[in-house]
Amino acid sequence: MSGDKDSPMDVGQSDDFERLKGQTKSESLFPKPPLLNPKNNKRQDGRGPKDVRPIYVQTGVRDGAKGSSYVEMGTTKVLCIVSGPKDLPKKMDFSSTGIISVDVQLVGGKMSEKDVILIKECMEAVVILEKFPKCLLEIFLTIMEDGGSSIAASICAAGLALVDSGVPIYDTPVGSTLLYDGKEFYLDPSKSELDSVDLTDSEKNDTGGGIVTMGYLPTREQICLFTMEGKMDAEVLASAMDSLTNVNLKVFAVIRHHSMELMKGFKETKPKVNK
Amino acid sequence: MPKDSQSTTEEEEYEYDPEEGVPVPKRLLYSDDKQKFKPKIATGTPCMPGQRICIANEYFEAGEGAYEFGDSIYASTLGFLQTEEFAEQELTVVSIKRGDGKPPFTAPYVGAVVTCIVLSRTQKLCRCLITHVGSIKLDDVVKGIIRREYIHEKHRDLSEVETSFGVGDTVLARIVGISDGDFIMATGEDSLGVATAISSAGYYMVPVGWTRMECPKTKETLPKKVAKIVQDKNVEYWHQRNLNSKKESDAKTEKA
Repeated sequence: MSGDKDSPMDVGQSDDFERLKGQTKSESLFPKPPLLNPKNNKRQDGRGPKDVRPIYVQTGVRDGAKGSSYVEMGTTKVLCIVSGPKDLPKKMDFSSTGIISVDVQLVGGKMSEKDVILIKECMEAVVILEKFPKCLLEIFLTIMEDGGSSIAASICAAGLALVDSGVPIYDTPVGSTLLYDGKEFYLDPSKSELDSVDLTDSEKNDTGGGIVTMGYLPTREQICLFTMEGKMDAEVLASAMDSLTNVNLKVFAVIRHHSMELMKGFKETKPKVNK
Repeated sequence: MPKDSQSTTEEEEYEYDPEEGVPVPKRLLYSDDKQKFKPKIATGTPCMPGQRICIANEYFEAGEGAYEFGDSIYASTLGFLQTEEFAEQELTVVSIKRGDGKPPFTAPYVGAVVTCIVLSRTQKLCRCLITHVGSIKLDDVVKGIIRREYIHEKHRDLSEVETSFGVGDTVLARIVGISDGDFIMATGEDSLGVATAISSAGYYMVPVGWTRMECPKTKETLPKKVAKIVQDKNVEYWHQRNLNSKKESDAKTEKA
């Protein structure tokens, strides 16, 4: 109505309330630490920029489920349960191939719809859908603690649960995240590091910066998921993908080691297979 | 077949079928016979999903737990490698099987023989719930229908749902297609049809012919599309029934 829409104090008359965002966290109370500690040239949690947080994987955590897994990447903890092919509900549209539904629950929050669709499309690329026509495969993910790079951990957990369940898949998917602050790559960033980088600010400074998440099929050498936030040069992005591939292979080595340990248990129960 | 054709010139990529006059791609020739039947990886080796097992050609075929992509066979589940050789057809089926007690992945597919329970029936079709695929139980039941035309192989128009199935019967059927809502099943073959049924008195009925089933207690008979399978529990009843009918016929002849 009035001419002076630009004045932010005029709350009663301006239409867009969204522009007036209150500060949720006081910067003086929660100061943003630099990514690299200048004293010893290491990150705030004491690892080098190319180091990955310790990974712990476990399968068969839930009895009665078709397949289940638990993945811990540093402080990120993800639980995944796969429940077998079911008859399609009447509401859903008919399809001659299988359908996958992914349900993500984040403790103390909600994962954005965009990320859920990303994980779902990644799973559709991994599972052989022709093997169960007109049936529904359900994947339930519970992120028990979000300590950064939760999409990557979810992909690892879902892949491991699919391996445990025996659902036919093209390859074992793994994922990892990378943070770029304009100078250096920080592999497998934690939650505080992701919060401390302001992507909009770097765009102003024109140094670039971004968060890249990549899902990878190690033996087929294919990328099953790719998402990026921020601004990066093409050459930088190419080198980021190279280092992400290396990390993915490291993560796959952990999963492979665990599944081989799992297979040893199979052999003891049934020595017939040895023939 | 390839041993005989080795004498012919190996440069030809196609050989001509004399009857049809159409070029047929020639089978690849291998000097090493061992390569034909055995993949390089030994049987019993543990495999991860996505691991390459062997080359995919006319001598190797992907079985359960494996898939073909490009010119290779890959594993699709976690398990141990197992091979099955068919010497006559010169074929080796490569499959991956889990060693633990978990049943292999199953889902109904076109061409599978399934076990289902009749839920309801109308004049045109009867609705069923699929419980098993082959011999493996499904985690969750799947809906399916048997149309009137698919009950018998011959005289399709004459067959009726009411004289073929009853509600609650266990039926063996083969999936022949997928429609908008359900799997379409057929019971045309001899070995397919009603396997077990329960009479109104509450006893398991015994087949006494190709189209009839009898209650062992009340002797009531119902028309069914019976599956021609011999169940051990029925054999004794058939024996008794034959003896009784013989006695009756003997008595009749004596009277006469």
